Amino acid sequence: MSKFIIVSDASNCSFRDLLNTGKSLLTNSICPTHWLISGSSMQLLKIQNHRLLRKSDIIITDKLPDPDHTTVVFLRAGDTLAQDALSLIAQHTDLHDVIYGDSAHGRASRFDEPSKARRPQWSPERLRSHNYVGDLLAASHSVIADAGGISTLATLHEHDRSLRLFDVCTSPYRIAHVLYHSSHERMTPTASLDAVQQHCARTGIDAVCSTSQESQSVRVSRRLHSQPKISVIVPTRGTAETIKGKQVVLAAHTIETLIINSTYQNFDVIAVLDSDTPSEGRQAIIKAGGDRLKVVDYDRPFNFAEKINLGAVCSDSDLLLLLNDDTEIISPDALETLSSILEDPSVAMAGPMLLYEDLAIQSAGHILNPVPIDLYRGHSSTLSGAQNILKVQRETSGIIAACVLVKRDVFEQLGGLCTLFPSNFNDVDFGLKMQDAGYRVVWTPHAQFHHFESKTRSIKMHPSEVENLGTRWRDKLEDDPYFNPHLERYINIWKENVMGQRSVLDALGPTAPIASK
Amino acid sequence: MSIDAEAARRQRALDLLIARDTEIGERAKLRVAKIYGPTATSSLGTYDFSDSFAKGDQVSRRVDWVHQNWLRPIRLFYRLIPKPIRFAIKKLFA
Repeated sequence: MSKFIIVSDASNCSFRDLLNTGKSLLTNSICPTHWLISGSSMQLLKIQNHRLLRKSDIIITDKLPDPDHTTVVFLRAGDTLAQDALSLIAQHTDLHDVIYGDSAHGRASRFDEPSKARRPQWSPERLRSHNYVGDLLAASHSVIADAGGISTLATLHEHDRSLRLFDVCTSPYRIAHVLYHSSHERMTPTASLDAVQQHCARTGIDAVCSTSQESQSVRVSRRLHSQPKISVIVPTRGTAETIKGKQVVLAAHTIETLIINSTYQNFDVIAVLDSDTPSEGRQAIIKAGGDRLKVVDYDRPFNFAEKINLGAVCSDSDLLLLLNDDTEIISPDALETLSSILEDPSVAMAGPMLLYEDLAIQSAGHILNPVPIDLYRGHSSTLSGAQNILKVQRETSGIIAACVLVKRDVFEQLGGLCTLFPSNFNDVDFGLKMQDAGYRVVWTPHAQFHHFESKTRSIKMHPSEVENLGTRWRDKLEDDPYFNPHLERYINIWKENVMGQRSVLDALGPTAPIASK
Repeated sequence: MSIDAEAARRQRALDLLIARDTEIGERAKLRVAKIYGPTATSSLGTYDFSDSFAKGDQVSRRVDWVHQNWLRPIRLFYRLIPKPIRFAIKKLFA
């Protein structure tokens, strides 16, 4: 049976909080062998002499026990362990060396359960932004030794501790179950700029780190050592629409605004034009693209995936920007931001935050629940989302192909977009092919584009496309690593699958304070 | 390069992409078939998202019963009764 050592830092907590933690250890399904309390000798003494804990089998100490063949669990003083937490952790300690899980926050009311922080599986990009893994971490003795030892780790900021542990671990794991009840009502993860800077130095990431006060997170901007040429692939049929009150040829507007507003200028444009493109539309596109433009004619029945593939084989750049004709760049440095993410060799695709014309969210990355859904579609871009999910760079299972930067070699290796999906899900299939091949897909809120798609457009799901997706990826649709099985499915917000207003408010995230207050 | 030669090169490149995609797709289908059985990959079998998770099991759908037409007069009556009685009923059903 697994042996556990619980480690708590008592420097900033009351005796009552520490006692609550102690009581939860006593009632746990597996009794830990040691409880290491650091940071306050006074609290330690009081706990050691308390009648409940004095008679227990737990050795309460501030000295280091021999950590061989044990699992060390870091638990914040004041937090209480769920009754089955240690037995759940024990089931996974053979295969995984660092384990984290979900948490409950606040008290239950008559109508609502306590808030629950549901976490995705291992997401290294997100961990750099904030400590999304929470305050309970279980690690094997070997990982603890490699990360600096118990005494060092016990006193560190939780974000620093998480980064150090995950830097040296080989097999992290998320248990989709509430492992502890936090004494903090607030579910927003904390972040430490120093910790992230040290992590970047340790792991050789050449980046500029900065904090965002608004979302309590750290932005890691990798330095771009060169500006590789990007081929912007714009499939279009030369449609004219009204944008910001002005009638424009969509593709011409997309290309023109990209050329004028982007600070990244090393790109060419491949416009893949349907054969029935009106001549005035074609002329507008040629005029907007100027000498950067290459026109490729497409004379087959509509197939979005094939149009993109055709654009890709007609280009010669290392990076491909797949860009719908109804988009417009918002952040001038969007291409720098996206290409800097691709500096990481394990990341093959990066996508921006897409906003409607009225600045509501069009897409913040895909979730598969099991329907592939654009996260927070139609919601205000001022929202933070559950646990600041909308404010931090993170891994996702897929990104809408309306605007996404892809490494060309990976695009070719994976066979481009699958032509069995002429209208929908070609991007979902492509993201899952990447995941299957071991690449990461990253979504960032730090690059923004408009996507002038109609807000009322509902995706017409063709049964053949749904079937093709299911026959290829049903297992992935049912278990998206960047989703949590306790969340409500078929909706586009990160909401616990329970009734009650609290779960909706938690999903939308903290709201801005009222100015008059 | 002549126009025909360029068109042939493009077609070869597109065919290569399709061949790679097919290979990956077949591998993925075999994996799914191994988990869910051969019917999952049958060309006659149809997959729908609700095969994975029933939509009705999602809690926000369950509250729709309050919007049924026959409940409208009852809801109107409930809203018009004095507050203490309303709260007592609410407490009782909570």
